[in-house]
Amino acid sequence: MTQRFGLDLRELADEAAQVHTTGAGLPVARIGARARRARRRHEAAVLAGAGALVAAVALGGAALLGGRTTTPPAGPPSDGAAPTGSTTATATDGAPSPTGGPDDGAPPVPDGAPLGPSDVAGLMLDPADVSGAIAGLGELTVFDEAPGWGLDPDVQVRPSDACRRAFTVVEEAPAHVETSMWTSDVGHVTQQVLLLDDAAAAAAEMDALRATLRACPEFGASTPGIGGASYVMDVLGDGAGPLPSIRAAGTESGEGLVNSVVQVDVLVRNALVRVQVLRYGAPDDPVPATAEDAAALDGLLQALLARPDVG
Amino acid sequence: MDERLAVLVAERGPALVGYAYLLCGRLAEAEDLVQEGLVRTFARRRSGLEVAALEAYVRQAILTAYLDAYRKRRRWLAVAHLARPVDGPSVAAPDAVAVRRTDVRDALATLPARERACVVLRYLEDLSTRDVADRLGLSEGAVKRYLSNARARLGPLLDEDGRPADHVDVALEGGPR
Repeated sequence: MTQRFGLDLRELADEAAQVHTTGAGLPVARIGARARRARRRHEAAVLAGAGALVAAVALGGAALLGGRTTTPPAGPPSDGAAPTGSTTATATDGAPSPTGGPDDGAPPVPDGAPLGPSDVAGLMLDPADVSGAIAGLGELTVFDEAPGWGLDPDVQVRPSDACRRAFTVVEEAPAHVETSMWTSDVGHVTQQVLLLDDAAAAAAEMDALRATLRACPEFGASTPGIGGASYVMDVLGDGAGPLPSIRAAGTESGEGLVNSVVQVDVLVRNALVRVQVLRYGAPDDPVPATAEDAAALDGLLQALLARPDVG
Repeated sequence: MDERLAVLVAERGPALVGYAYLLCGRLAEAEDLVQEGLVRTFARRRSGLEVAALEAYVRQAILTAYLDAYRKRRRWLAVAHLARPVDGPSVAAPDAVAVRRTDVRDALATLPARERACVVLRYLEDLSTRDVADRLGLSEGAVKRYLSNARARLGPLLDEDGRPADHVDVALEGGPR
């Protein structure tokens, strides 16, 4: 690259700096207050960690003085799964292992009874299982800003509003909805559990969703003057598991990216459960989504949701 | 802390905003990045550091915050609530130099976050590829790959003499910082 380009960057930065000086400037007082709060939190965390270490050493020392060998209190996990500055969802967050029965101690929900808000935690996947099933996803950590249900009123759906359900799953706001989101450096996973009034209502919504996805192989959404995303999704057909499911795979395009999308919708009693796995890519380096990915994701959901105490 | 923060903002605030602007391409976001960089820097005790040293910490924090924010933005792409501001500096740019700056700005906007960060560190801050790798926590080979990809996208902006771009990838002594 040339010296000229470096000068261009300098001039561009200077131009932005000049425009900045015509405004209100940086809020020094607010920045200082935020920094002080952050410092207090950091120092409190350091003290808490130091206190735990001192306690562990003291107990170990007391055991030695007493002539016994005593195992000190459990410290941070040493199995390689310790958080590294992010919140890491593990199997202990209430989501049962898909390979076994429920392990959260909650009483089983009677067959046929509608699922309620207190059951939703047991319907959430373990992100570690998703990482294991979908290649190239990496380690997933909890993302605290998971989206809610529905589209912003200003959002326009392409090719027509008839495809809106491709985003929303159900036509109107459900009785209860919860969304979990997990992210990695190379993608993210979103799971949304929507509770309807009863099983019949949920089944009707599932039928309508299936019809919409088949009628809308290409769709998109955007906020006028701002931006959005476009999707090309192949409906791979219904899954072969005990619970009705719809598998789909395709791409999402926008902001110069072409990301792969794997999506499964499952009907269980009065609930619709959607899981979408997105892996980031570039127009010249797309990451293909495969039918095998969709089948693997469906398999995870079937194992989780078709437990005797749930589905 | 407050006095050093105030001095840093007064003396280097606009330059920091300019630096952040090169990374993100939007002035409002650049100002937010600088705020975040300042908070992250002053959230740790930095006793005895002069403004220049503090500025280095803030620049690194801005870079980290930019890459963190970019990852979050990409996470939102699947959500139709994504709002993508399209503002840029509102300075009028009628002359040829300003037109070239517009080309540079538009070209930067085509770069993915890591390529953009590599370009800014390499050609604005005049860092070696090894130093860029250290700043971003990448291997030197990865940085070279990102820069190569960026050159392919930036094309004619980079070579005013008609030579292949890789012939001019040399750190110039006394060149622009």
